[in-house]
Amino acid sequence: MTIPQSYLYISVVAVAAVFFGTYTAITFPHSYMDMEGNSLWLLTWDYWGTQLTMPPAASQWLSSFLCQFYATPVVAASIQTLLYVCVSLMAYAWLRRIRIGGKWLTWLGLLPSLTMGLFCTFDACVPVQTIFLFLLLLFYCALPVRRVRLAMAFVSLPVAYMLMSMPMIYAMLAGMMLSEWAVYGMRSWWRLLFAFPVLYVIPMVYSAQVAFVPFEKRYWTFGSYFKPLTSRVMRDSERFRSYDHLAERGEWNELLGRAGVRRAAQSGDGVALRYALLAESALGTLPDNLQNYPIASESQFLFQHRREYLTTLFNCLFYRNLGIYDEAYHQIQEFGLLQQNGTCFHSLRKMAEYSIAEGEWQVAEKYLDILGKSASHSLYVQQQRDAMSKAIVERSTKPQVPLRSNTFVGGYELPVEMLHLAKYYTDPGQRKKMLDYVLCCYYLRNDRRRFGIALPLFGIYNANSSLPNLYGQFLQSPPGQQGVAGADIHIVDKHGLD
Amino acid sequence: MRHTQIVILQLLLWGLFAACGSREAKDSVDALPEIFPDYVGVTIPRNIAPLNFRVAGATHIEASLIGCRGHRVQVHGTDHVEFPIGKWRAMLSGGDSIMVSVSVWSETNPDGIRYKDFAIHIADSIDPWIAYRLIPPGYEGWNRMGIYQRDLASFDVEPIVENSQNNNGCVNCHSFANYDPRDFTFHARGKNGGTIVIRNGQMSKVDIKSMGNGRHGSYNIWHPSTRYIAFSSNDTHQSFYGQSRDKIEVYDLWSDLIVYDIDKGKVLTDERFTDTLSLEIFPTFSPDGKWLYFSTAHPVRMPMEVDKLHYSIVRVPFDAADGSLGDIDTVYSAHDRGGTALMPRISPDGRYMLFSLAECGAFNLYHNESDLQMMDLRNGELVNTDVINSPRMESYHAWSSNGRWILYSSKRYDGRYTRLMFAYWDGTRFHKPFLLPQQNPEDNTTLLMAYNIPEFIKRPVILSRDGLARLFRDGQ
Repeated sequence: MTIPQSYLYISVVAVAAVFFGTYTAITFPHSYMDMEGNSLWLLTWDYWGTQLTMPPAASQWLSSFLCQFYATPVVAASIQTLLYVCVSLMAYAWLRRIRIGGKWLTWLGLLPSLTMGLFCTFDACVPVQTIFLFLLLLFYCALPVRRVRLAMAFVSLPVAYMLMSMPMIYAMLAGMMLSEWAVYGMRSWWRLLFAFPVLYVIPMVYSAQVAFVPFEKRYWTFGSYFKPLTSRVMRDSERFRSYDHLAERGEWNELLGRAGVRRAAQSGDGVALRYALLAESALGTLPDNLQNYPIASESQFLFQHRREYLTTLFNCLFYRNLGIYDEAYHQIQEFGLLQQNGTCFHSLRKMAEYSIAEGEWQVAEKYLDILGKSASHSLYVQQQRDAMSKAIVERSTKPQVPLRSNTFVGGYELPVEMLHLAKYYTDPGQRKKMLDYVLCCYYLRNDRRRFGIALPLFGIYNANSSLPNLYGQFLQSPPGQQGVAGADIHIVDKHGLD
Repeated sequence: MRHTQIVILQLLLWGLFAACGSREAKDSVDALPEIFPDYVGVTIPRNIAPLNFRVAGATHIEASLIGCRGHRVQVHGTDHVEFPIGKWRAMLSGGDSIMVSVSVWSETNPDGIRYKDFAIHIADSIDPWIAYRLIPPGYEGWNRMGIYQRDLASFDVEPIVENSQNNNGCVNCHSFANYDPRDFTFHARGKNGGTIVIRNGQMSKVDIKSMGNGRHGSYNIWHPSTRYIAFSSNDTHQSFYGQSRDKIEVYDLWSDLIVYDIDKGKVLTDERFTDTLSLEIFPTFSPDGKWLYFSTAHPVRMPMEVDKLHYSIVRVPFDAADGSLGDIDTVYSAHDRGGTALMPRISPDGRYMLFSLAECGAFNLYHNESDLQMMDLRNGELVNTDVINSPRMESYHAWSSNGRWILYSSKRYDGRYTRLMFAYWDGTRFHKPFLLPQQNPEDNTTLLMAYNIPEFIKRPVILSRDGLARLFRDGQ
């Protein structure tokens, strides 16, 4: 009994889908979660206006809507796989319709999904655009009257400009010409070539009248970057994302152990090193375990003065660990600005939480209002509002934050910055973390003099009582270098001599 | 029978629409409604867009406008109301005030409460357009930003220039000559950037820095003759507070004054204002063009000594024949009167100086305590400005061309995002300010951008987008 080719095709697609979905959900869960965190979809005119005026408008809008549900990797993998399945089936349907070559050529319908799945896996916009592409081609093929088809071809151009990137529109035109020739045997398929000049005019007119599309993006834009799923870059990216998510949830032991951060840090990975040291600080074991890591300078504690995807995410967590929510807010806002929409769900959530932590109720309420306009944050918003109600009561018993504290983040070397900040935080846990950074920095500089001055500050450590081994050994070691140029001895002396 | 069925159907339909439409509140209370924005008792110009508002927690709102001649406009909505523009304009043209009646239904008041009526006062007209920059507030980076213009009689907003046109650089520091967009300037920072000067409608890109003195231009102001543009030239930095209600400190390590002579294509400098002994910033010309006002201070070690940084406002005579500057006259002395005085703006009649006053520092946008102050230049006395200020930042201000309105930035609503306020000056006092109206008042909350550098203009800017973008690409 021969199996119809269509059944065979569908079976192959189904098997591939299950395999792909399972593989990516298990191997790249954090990449999926980041698709949700880095996306934005809101029921506000401001958002719709910016989304729907810049190609590929509707596809971007729709893919952003879908990404809202990607916080759970299984759901994300299912939706993403479903998009690829749709593309495969529609490509197959079109290839069957145009009946070019033998029926085996219809297996080429797998090619778009295969390419997208392998090379731009974590982009929902490209498959959505491809679905629209094949929808338009199938609709074109279904029109029996030639004039209607030609009219549709021209009308579809401005419409397609709002659905797809330019390379896809070129592919659509090519597909229409192929359909014209293959399905209807029309020799006048070449008339569609006249559509190409129209494709030059549409972006120009659109840019002048609706939204400005930069010159370099008008006629040739790609929807995504192409990185092979199995490449080292993608695996590293997933790994860094996992660090970030674990640190975000405060799962420090998990981060150090199962996630392998300690191991990776010890083997020289600079990103893993920072996360490992952050975890040690959060657990209060930084001085106990510092010597287990290949750290050569204090610059390896964080990414100072760097404003990139990974660095802003890490720096946010660094300052959050210390309870410096203003700076955590700063970093996460910078992270949001690096995203396509100028902000994203992750950034908005964190800005809301840090605003609550800092007692800025109105701006927290603003972010919660905005998040409430997505399709996926109603529970989160309610939880944060409850947390804010509690925080308002607690905050009324605390002293008011000064108008200007005369201490700045990022303006000094790390130990001086930590010392300045420690003056303003009375919580013993926070102060200890800051002081540990100070002491570890002076240890790394081999500056025993300043180390000795800073050690008794705030009454946390006493030279006569039990100290972490690192501190005790360093105090007893022979005097070394007296300090490097540039350190602000004045501030340290002021604290030490009081 | 068929006729009866039709009548019943009509009655049912009418009942359905009536249920969805107007209602009558069962209770009333002698209190003003808590509407957002707060438009209770404000004074507005005759040609402003409708003051749509919302009520938090409302499930239904009924609002009526009652004009002087008894003319009535009734609207309703769920959590906000929108007044039809045509009826609103007719209402404003008919008298000096309108009464507003508001009834609100909510979960706590399912039968509705009618609040005490309040008045909105109508005064002189205002310039029909404003221009401003929209930018993510504070810190270092940006994504999307642009300079936009808004028709004050409606809710139309159009971009003048967006940073998608200049390689995602920064666009800023726009200023107009005599409220006329035929002469205006702005800076475009980044790749292929420069100072864009539009004069008599013709665009050009100018590299101020290359004109002999090595200074670029920042904050700028046109001379009323449109021949000169005064710039401050600044080395601006920012530092981020670790634990304070102010989040950022912006300051200059040096700043100078220069004047660009457009006719001669050269930059004029005065060595008194280009040395390192003092900082000069925020120049502005008097309306008659005879004086150049600016803020000046002695430099201190920044940012650690920010509390010692106090700007005074001074002025120098300006000779429009050759662009030369005369002797310095102190207008507001920070040493004598305290604080730091920035951004002087002279009223169109030349009598008053509106400025921003904070405790210290160079950039009041990030100082919560910053307030607007106004000085009568005839006697140096300060005018009471309490009504236009709030516990949070008020700064960047502009006068309307008839001298009756001011437009300024305020962070009163949440402390981070500046919004635009208008206030009426009747010649003796300011009236209660009102927030720039939006079609849906919720847009004030959901907008994640801050308004910057608001300016009045008499008509919209019309620029070719491609032409402007080519300036950044090719320089032509």
